[in-house]
Amino acid sequence: MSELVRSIRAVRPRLHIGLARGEPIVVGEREIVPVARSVVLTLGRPGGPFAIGFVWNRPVAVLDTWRGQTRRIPIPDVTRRIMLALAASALLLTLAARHLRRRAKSKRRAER
Amino acid sequence: MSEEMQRPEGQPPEEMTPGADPVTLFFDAMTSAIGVNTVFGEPVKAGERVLIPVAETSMGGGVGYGRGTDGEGEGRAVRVGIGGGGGGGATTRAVAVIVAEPGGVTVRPIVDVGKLALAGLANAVGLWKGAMTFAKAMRKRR
Repeated sequence: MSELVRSIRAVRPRLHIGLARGEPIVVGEREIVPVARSVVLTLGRPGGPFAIGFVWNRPVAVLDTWRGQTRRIPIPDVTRRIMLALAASALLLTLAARHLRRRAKSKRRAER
Repeated sequence: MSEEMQRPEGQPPEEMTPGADPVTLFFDAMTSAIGVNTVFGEPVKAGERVLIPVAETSMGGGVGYGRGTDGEGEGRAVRVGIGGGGGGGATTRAVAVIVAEPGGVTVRPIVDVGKLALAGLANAVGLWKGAMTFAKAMRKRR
């Protein structure tokens, strides 16, 4: 039984989301610090019989410090935004069409 | 990966020593894939400007292995079997370029036209079908 409990505990998924700052880059009087977000999903544990894992790193922003003032400049992912917009428009249109079709169908039934 | 070997009892094969098993190595590889260095590339100097390439990276995979013996006995050889397998993949996509110059810092986004074209093609059929159904339903409504 304890072996079973140990096996179940071993496959418990672990999710870690964190922000990390990189080494500062100096350009003239400016200091630039890159910031990235990491999403880590793991199943299993070191030393166990198996492991499944996924790591996703994406840029978030750069911190620009100049004469004591720090400005946060976000890094937009234009490709992802366009893809999400495409997917959302396709989904919305499909849902709207389905809704209208159902309404038309129920209206025709009521007329009969 | 499979292996069968003859070893005296009490002497595990090297592959079974703690810290060197494939699962631990897999976790080590995962840990090395986390961080800012995988997202922000090496700065490139171009005159007064410094260009920093920025990318989105992802990595995934799985590994598993098992081992077994045909029994234990004092003074006699033990047959040890080890088997396992694994797989994985990694992707990188350019997101932007940071242009740092003494006058200011700007972020220039990179649009992945190839990826958008593929996604657009995949969506086009759905959009077309949806639009046709929508138009038909609107006509019937009138």
